[in-house]
Amino acid sequence: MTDQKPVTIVMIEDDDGHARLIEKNIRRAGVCNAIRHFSSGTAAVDHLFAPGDPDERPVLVLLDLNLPDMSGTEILARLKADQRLKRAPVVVLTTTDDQREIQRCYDLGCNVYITKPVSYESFAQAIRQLGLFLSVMQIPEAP
Amino acid sequence: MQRRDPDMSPSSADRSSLHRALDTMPQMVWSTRPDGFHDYYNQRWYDFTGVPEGSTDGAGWNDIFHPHDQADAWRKWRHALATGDLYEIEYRLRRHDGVYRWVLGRALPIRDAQGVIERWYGTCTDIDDLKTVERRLNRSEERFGSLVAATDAVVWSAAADGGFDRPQPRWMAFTGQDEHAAAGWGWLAAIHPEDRSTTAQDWSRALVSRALYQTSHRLRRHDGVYRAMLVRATPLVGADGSVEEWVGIHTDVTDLKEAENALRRLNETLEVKVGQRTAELVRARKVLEVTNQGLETAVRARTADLQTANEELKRFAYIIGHDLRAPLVNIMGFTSELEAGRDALSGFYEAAIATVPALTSPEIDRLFKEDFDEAIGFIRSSTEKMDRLINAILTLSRAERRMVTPEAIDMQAFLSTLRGSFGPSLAAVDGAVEIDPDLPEVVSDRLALEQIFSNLTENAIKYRAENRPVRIRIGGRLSDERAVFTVADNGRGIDPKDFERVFELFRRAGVQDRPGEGIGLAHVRALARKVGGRVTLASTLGEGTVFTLDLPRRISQTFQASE
Repeated sequence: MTDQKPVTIVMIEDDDGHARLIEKNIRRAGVCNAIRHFSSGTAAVDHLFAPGDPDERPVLVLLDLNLPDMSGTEILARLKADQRLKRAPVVVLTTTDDQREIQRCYDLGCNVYITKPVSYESFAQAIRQLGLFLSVMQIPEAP
Repeated sequence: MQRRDPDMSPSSADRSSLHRALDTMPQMVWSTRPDGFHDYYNQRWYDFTGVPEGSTDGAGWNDIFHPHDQADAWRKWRHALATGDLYEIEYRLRRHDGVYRWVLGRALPIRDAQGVIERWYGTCTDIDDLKTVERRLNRSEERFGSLVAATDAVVWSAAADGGFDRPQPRWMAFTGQDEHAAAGWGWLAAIHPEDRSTTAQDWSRALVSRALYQTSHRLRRHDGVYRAMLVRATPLVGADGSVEEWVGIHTDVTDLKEAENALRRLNETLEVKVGQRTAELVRARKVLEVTNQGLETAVRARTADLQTANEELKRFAYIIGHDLRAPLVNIMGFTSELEAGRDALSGFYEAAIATVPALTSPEIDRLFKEDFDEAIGFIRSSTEKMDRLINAILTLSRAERRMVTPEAIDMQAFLSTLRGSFGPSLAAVDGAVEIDPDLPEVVSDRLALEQIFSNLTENAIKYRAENRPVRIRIGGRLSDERAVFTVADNGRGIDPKDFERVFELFRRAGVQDRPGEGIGLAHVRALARKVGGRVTLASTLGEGTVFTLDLPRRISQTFQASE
């Protein structure tokens, strides 16, 4: 990632505890990219779709599906329909392992779907793997 | 005939020739002296009466008239002789065959220049045929009259112009109009005002067409009461073809009309009653329809409510599954963080007391070595249990949400495969599954059946009786359009009071010596329901349990749509 503009991780997660745990484990995995946390769908959408993002950095979206103000799949659909953002990787992180929901997310263009296991070991493991994944992932720049 | 006149006068010769002429007449002719003494009868008289010549001379004539007429004839004759007036009488003369016939007798005196009566000349004319006709006519009129009198009918006659031109006794008697008032078209005033115009029109039309006049109107009776009348009149046409008069009759049909009206009223009443009754029935039926519709609506609404409630429950279960998990992630996550922190602190503590032993105390020591572990252990086990419960709810909710996919299943092969998958666990408990031959084929959802039979088999192994090897027997048969399968085991059995309870979510029965969340049978029941079936059990404690799965032989797309 060094020869590219550093990727900003946009985390959309209404549960602050989850957000903290995710951040901790991402950091533990050695990922030091900037993480912007939005605890509501509205705030995240406002930021992502604001005209002329001042950062002009490529983004990676960590998306929780169960948001109080809008559904995560709606945000996912909007991201994938947007010319500027459609190539941004989206990692769906949610509590359910419902196959139909997983399928729906992949259909909408989600890149990775991670279930948040209750078992913390598994959870930490998953996030660390995500960090690993992030570190090797080529994130295209916004056009 | 020659007769000698005893008192020959100069005119005797003339008389003789006259008498000869008179003999030729078809009429009976006679002649008398001025004093009334009959001294001549012509031949016709003798032919008619058959009496000997001369036998009726003088006053002898009187004897051959009808005894009832003799006195009258004598009296009139004497009167004529006395006054010289015309003698005229109708009386019955006896014919030669003894039959009395009516004759008209007339006689006039012949006077001389001084006005003195010379002779009387008389005739007798046979008017019997005329009399008979007249009598018949009279009788006919009498009959008609009595008929008219017997019928309350008002008979009248009118001139060709339609007016009364002579007194109408019956009319006047009935209406009380006097002759003057009824004269001309005055009779119209006795007709009810509302009927006058049509009556006048009908009457005028009849007068012009000279056809039978027929109408009906109300006629005022002398007491002022209007009576319903049926009116008929017919023109009497003269020889010249012109109408001489109209003869009419008013027939009082008030009573008839009243009877008719009464009948009509009765009919109407009946009709009204029938109408009312019909209306009542229609109303009752409508009420019933409305009630039915109300019921249907209520049932539909209730069904919709239940479906909504069911949908909500499903969503509820699903949401609970998701939302209860989120805090669990935190509890587990931060517990781990705490544990990690504790581990770091423990290391720090160990190092510290190794350096400064005085820092330790039994409480601090127990805190690091026991209390933290215990607290974290409870948090962990509770959270894990909660996770399992949530997973159970999620599993059930997903089973509910899943669409069933009907396919033909050869149950024999299906259960053999299933048994194969239990090979290791059966071997571990020295168990065996017997499958009856000739199991019926079904069209159902394979996954649901797999889970149902797996759960039942699993339970049979799990709740086995320790003193004997596990024996499971699976049977099946067709019952009409349903396929009934049984899974019988020789396990520890279930207390009858728990037959229903074991199907409830998170409920278990008997000795709690096996791991489990109490979801297996709840899941089985939900799955069975999902494929249109039901599952029941029969059991004897210490002997074993038989689960019966009653399934539709075939489920269809329609069945799914109704789910």
